[in-house]
Amino acid sequence: MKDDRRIYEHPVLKFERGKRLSFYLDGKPMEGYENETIAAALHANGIKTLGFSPKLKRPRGFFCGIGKCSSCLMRVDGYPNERTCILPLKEGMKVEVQEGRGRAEIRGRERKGKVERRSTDFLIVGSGPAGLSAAAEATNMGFKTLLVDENPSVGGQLIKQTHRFFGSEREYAGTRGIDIPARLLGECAEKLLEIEKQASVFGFYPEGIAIEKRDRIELVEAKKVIVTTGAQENYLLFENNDLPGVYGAGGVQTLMNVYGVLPGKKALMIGSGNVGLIVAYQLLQAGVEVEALVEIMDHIGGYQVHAAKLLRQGVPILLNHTIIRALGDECVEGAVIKDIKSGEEQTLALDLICVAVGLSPSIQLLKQAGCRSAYIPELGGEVVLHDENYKTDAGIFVSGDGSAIEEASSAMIEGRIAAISAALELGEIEGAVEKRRELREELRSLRSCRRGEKILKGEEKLLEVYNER
Amino acid sequence: MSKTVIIGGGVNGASIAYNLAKLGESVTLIERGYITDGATGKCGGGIRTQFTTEETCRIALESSKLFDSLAEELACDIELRKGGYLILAHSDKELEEFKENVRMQNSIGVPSRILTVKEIEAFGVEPYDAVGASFCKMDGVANPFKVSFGYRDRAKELGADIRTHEEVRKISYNGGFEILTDKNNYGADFVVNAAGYESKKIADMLGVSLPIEPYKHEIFATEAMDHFLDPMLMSFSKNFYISQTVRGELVGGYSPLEAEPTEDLTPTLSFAIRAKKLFEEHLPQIKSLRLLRQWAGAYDMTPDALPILGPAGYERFIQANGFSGHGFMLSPFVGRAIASMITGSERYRDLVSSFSFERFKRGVKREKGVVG
Repeated sequence: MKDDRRIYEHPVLKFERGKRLSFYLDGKPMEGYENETIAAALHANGIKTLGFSPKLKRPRGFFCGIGKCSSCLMRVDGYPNERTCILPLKEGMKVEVQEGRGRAEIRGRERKGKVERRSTDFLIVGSGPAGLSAAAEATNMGFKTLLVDENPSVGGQLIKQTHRFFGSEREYAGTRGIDIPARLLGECAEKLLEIEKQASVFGFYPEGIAIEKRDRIELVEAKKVIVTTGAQENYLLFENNDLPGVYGAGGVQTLMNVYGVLPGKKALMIGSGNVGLIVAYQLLQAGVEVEALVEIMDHIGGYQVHAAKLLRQGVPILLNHTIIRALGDECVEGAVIKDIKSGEEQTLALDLICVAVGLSPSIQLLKQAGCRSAYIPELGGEVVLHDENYKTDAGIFVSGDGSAIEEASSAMIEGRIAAISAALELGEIEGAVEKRRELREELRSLRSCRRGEKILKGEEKLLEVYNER
Repeated sequence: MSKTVIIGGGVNGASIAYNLAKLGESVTLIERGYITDGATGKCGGGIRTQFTTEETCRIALESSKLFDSLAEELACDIELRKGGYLILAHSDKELEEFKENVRMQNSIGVPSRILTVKEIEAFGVEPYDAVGASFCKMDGVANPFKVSFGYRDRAKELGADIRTHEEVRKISYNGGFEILTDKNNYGADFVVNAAGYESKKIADMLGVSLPIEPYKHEIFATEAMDHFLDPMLMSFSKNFYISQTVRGELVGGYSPLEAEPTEDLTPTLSFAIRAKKLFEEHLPQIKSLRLLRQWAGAYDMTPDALPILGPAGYERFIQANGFSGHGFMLSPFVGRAIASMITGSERYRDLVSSFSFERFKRGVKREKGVVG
């Protein structure tokens, strides 16, 4: 597989790809590795078009890379609408490009007939920085904890963060994001922690909390629930924005940093927030040329230190610029960008447009559970209301990007505060109140910067709406 | 001040508002939430003419015909698809009843017919325990949201005053009606009570007692698939219905026969699991489909499972409620009939006379086919 689009040399990452597997795309044999998802393996084989839209038959490709956007749906082993970005590759798999909605066939998904029940002290939904930190606190306080994640690996978005973290030492400042999940897992009391991967919590029912696994449904009874479902990438309106090759920044990170697959050869980055700046630099590290980074505002949104790294590598950061059109028929072949001050347009030849225009909290599960929400732009949009202990009015706790778009360091602290607060409702715990006070202090100091002010203002608004009722 | 105030912004309230406005009448509609917020937004979208009582068949037939030209009339797509209703008979006794129903239905112009087991299979439906079925090609499905919004939008254009997020608190009568909401005060000659199961609470405000009780019904929708199911598949004895929408989703509802009245509309997992199993017996394709959404709504049940259309307690306090699960499918007819009643026309008098509030004093017999 010499001609493939995999990354074999990387300044930070080593890819452990596992066993080589063969699979089929529309009957054509292809090769991939056991530690890849279907979408990653296809991309490595140069396949970007995964399906066609039902009505207009527009090509559809990869976008979010974390099972949230439904852009990568394909038919796998006869089953339509599989999210190929989170479904691991298996030997002999038959993958088909899906045209339209997919056929319903007379064949059963193998499921055990009975719904199984289980119980736990803590149920934590999502294994990102907030979820893992909450699990560490909960298990160390002696609570049996079930940690559920719909992705194939634990760690949420940490598993693709190759940069070193800022912030405080307790939140692993100076450590690369990719190394944090193992450290947090190491903090957990192992005997009390159960982890379910590739499992989705899909509803809070009168009968219990329902989890879907590939072969069955389980009903969980939990004394306390913490939801840390993270965020989903915002989209941007421009002509042809649905062409394969227009990928979310997080999706691009998944391809190149988790699976070691090149998302493209030449890229345009949209957005100069920290995500845009960091991912643009990571593209360079992976060997992708970054033609330009466009930012519609008149200033850079993220930290200067990240921007400086890009500028040193000669990547132009074009302020007052935006994308107005993607070019190409079946996938991206170029982009037209525009200077919004002068009106001047420029055409760039490239095969990757990376969208980094912010995130929105994934609050669907919490809304299903009956939590109230409000639109608070400072916190990333529609957010679930909670008190200062991160407790929602449905009694469920929330933390991390799922409660407000901030960063991994604050997510870790919030996860701990939520876990301690939930635990305190079950009884007194020595030193817990004091620890929570310290964590709150840490969070305050983390937010004592320009960006933190915005969050603080948002939190204030949130508490105000929360207390309105 | 409008001549008529309609309470309730479901599909029937919206249809009545549109039909009144079309006749040049002044009308105000008051809805507590948004248009379709109640049972309309939770219904399965079925349209059928195969009822077991002749008077219901007659109005359902009128309504079904009106649906055929509704998209044109409302100048919007209503996602109407008439693939028929296929109602399964699970015993010889049930099939005999269906034969009688079909005879009655045919006599008034409903083109229903009896299907053999082989003919059921020809529709791509597994008969499983069915011994036959009745089928009518005039039946089908449409999108309750699009129909309601169509009525609302055209009503507005014709001058109707549509008030949402406003709740009626008190109604009094003193030669005319006075309606007090949390925001305003309205006077009206006519009040139309189209508030679904909460019509009972509205009528209570005027000291009129309606025999309506809420029954919870749950529904699910699967992922959207290529079209494979033409008819709405239904069973009276198993109390379920399922159809495929124009958008490709399978929308199905099932309710236990032994349910009690309740206002608790929380969806349950046991419903989803039981319903899916029931449907799989007749549509094995369901096994490989994911359920994407589920929800519950309330039927506004009357003792005979038939609607209340016309005055109750006061000559000008008009009921359009008690639809018992058939409000959406009857709404094109109900809009016309109630508007006609208010404007003093005799046109629909005979058709609606069987649905008067007075019938409950005489005693009633229950309509058998209730679900869907």
